[in-house]
Amino acid sequence: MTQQLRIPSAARGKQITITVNGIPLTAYEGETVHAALTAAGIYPLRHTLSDENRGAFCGMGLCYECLVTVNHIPDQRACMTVVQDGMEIQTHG
Amino acid sequence: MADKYRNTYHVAVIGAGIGGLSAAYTLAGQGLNIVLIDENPHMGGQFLRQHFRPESLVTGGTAPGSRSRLLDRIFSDPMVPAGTSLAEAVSVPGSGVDILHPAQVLGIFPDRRIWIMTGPAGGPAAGPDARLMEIQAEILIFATGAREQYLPFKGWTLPGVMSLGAAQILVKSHRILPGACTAIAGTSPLMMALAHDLLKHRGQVAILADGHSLLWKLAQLPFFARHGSKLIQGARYTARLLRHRVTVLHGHHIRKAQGQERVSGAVFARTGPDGRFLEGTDRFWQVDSLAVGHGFVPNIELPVQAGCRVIHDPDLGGWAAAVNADMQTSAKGIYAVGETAGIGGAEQSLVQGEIAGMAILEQLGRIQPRQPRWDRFVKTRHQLYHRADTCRSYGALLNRICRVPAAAYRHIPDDTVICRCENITMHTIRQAVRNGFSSWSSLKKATRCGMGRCQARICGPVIEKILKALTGTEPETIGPPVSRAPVKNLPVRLLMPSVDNQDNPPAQEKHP
Repeated sequence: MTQQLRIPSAARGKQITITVNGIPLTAYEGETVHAALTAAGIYPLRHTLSDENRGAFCGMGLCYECLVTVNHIPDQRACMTVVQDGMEIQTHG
Repeated sequence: MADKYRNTYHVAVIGAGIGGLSAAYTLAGQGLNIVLIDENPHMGGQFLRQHFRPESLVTGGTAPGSRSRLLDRIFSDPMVPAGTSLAEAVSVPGSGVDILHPAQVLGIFPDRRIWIMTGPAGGPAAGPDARLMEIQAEILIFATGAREQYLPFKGWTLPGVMSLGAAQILVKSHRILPGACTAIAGTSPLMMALAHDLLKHRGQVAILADGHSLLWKLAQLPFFARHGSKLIQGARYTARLLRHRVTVLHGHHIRKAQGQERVSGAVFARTGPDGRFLEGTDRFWQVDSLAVGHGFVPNIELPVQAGCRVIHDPDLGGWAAAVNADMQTSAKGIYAVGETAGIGGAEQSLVQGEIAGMAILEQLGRIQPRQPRWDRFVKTRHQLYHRADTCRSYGALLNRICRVPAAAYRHIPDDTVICRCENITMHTIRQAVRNGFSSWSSLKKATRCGMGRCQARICGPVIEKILKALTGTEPETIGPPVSRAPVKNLPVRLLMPSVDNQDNPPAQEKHP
């Protein structure tokens, strides 16, 4: 990641750690999985049957493009799921 | 979590945005049991996102304004404090309002029975602790809001291409930039708002491409005479764009997004009066994120399912729930407020929520002609009707400003994906229409378009316009979108708990 996408001056919730494909990632309480992954520059979240990458599109729970595996439960919307400390995210499930 | 809720309520409000909050507030404290249901982990809908930021959820209060400067205070939208205080008021114990969120309404059955999936507070509604419940309400209010609509282009499925709303949620709710360098394109007034927000937080806006020509936009200005506050807001956004010297291309649409793993660049071009891209006008920008939007459509899946009559009107944003002056739909005991009854913005939602609330108070006999407060009630109501008219005229203007020339849908290039879920291209749709599959249902059967996970929420409004452009058939003739329960995805295990417990333990238990 080349640039910090989290706006530096902003107040945030408590710092927590989630893992994304086994790699630890810092997130903040109250953030959605979509927000935490975007901040880390992780855009492709799943692939289609024809192996194209897809990422979050509508951001508000309508389009189902941002499906990821959350704590081993597949097909969860990253944009509607709030991060919790220790949460395990798998992309391209 | 479901246990603290009743099985029956006097009033159920679906959607805790401005419209739903306003209705719930009007009804609160009158001895009625009210349930306010929302799928989001916070109240306030899409409009109040920045005021229900994560840290406010964590601390349980409303976030303090971030060093609000004098100018910000002068120009701030009066709907923001109004909406915030509504949310606070309905949350007070004793208001009679039970707040149920995050909870996904999956369907509406006869006699206003509401089928709901709930999850743990703050968690995913469809997660491992998800449960199903049913609530029956004497009166039902739909305040289901709106979603964005789009003119598809090549590469719009690449990661990093997102709706204007998605980018705004990142910036306003999470204070995270959508990318290091963002392009903004479309026809929506949200483009200016997003550019403003990004620049304010030191984000980089590479380019803003507005589908309308500058001349066309200037010609719309006189219509804003009745809506001065919107003009001031627009001027403020424009000033920010000028100050940061953002390139603004008028009369340009996005032609394609490029990239391998994710978006790395975008091409913009002029379009002719027939909606075709003009050759030789391509301009390329290197960006790592792209936000697009071409206006809004009402969310009417639940009203349709409940049997409410819907009407098609471009001034309402497309299909919308048909309502009378009191926001009553054609279905017994069912009201629709805010964007559900036609796109018109936050103030309209506020006003319509109050109108519906007052009508319901009268309907349920909570206010009667001989009571001392009756005269004031009638007077307030008349003022609200008048305000609603002004809001409606702004709504029509808003929808007109977002509109993409109909011809643009005829010339979408063949290799463009239309239905994102099922990966159906314009080529496939054009072929099917040519072969006579020109109704919604036949087109679905022939191509599977609109049959994926999003249930045509994204491609539906697009296909409607493509059908009109290719065949001349009006949406009224094609008919409103079909809607069946469940309107959103749910895990099969919830429908078959016995299977879940015995032969197929949840995946979670397989990986301790």
